[in-house]
Amino acid sequence: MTEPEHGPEAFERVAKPHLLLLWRCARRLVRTGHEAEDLVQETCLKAFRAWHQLQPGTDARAWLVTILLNTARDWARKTLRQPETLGLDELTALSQPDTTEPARAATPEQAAGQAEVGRLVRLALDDLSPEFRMTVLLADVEEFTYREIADIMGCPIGTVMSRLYRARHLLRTTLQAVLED
Amino acid sequence: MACERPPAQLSLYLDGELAPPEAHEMALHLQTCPACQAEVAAHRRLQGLLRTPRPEDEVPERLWPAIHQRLVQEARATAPRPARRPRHRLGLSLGTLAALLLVAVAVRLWLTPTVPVMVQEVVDSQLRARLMGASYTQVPATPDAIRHWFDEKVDFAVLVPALPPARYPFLGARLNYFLNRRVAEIAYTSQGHVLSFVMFANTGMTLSAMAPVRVGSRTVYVKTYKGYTTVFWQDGTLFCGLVSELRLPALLEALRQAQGVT
Repeated sequence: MTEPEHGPEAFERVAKPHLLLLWRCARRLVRTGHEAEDLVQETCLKAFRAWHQLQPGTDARAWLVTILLNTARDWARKTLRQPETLGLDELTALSQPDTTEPARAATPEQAAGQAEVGRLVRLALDDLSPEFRMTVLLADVEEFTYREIADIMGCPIGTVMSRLYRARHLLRTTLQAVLED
Repeated sequence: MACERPPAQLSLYLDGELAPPEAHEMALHLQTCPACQAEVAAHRRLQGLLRTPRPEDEVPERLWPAIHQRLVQEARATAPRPARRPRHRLGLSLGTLAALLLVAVAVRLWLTPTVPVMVQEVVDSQLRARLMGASYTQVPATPDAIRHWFDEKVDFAVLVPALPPARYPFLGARLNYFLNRRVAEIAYTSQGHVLSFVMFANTGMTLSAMAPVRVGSRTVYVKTYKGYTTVFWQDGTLFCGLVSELRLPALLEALRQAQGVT
């Protein structure tokens, strides 16, 4: 009988606080919302299975993101992935007006402008290689330390720093028109 | 007025990676250095853009309940049982799910072309020309001479991008034929790659199948295919495009530098 302290309810207490983080990362790693849901589900299942082996005091946040990244990498190797093309779902989503945009804009023009900026940011990020994209997201959005990012991505800290520097430079070039507004 | 400090130090400071004595010293430096202040402001603006919440960042309500259900199944499946015939597992096993996902992706790719024909033909024509060693005609690099060269060859007024020659050396002109029409091509080099500017009449074609992006006052349509990046836009009755193995930031930069096209 699975002990209560290692059952689904206990896992929920550990993992669910990081669900938003996992979802955001998954959304940037795979093409469609459905794939992102599958990725997060698979990640949680793997984490649940490996939970017994987790050393006490390990940061659950970094541990979960590591599993997510490794799972995404495995999937990219196995599936018929054309890394440079947008999927049909994404094309459809991009070409439709953002009707779900929260009502922060005062005018329709402002809302359309915000949606366009969001699309451009998304394109700029998608144009980065997955390593560059994840490094800048883990650092600038999710605020992991260099050490944590190095552990998550399985590379030296120097590599994290150089990827971060180059990724930010590329983003600033692509988004120059928006950043200068 | 640039700052003589290494830029890496400011990056470390902004990422919270400097030890307190150095961080304090950098904070003092920032009070008096306009160059570093500008860099900090630019960095914050980029972070602001990256952190802007998007509608798709909202976690779907069904996600955790679905996860919970899988975990419950897993807990039941791995719980030790009295010795008897194994119970038939409810729901789909992981292996079946992965296989179904693979098939779904393959079927979707097979049934629906996700790359517009325009992009395919432009990129394929670049590939063919490269494989066959097709050359560009060396025309004098002035807009007039280039326009004149196309006079008898295409039935539209050719727009010459007039990129700054120091950064984008002019490679030559070429007349192509694809998409069932004549295509004017004006080629430059940049960072060791060819950067081609193409133009053709827009009869019977549309850009609406592609994803529109506003860059400044312009609306362009971007697609990558077979390692090439393409950027298209409309100009009157013409479609214009940039195609190159350079990546999107470089193409957008060239677009900004191009005078002579709207």
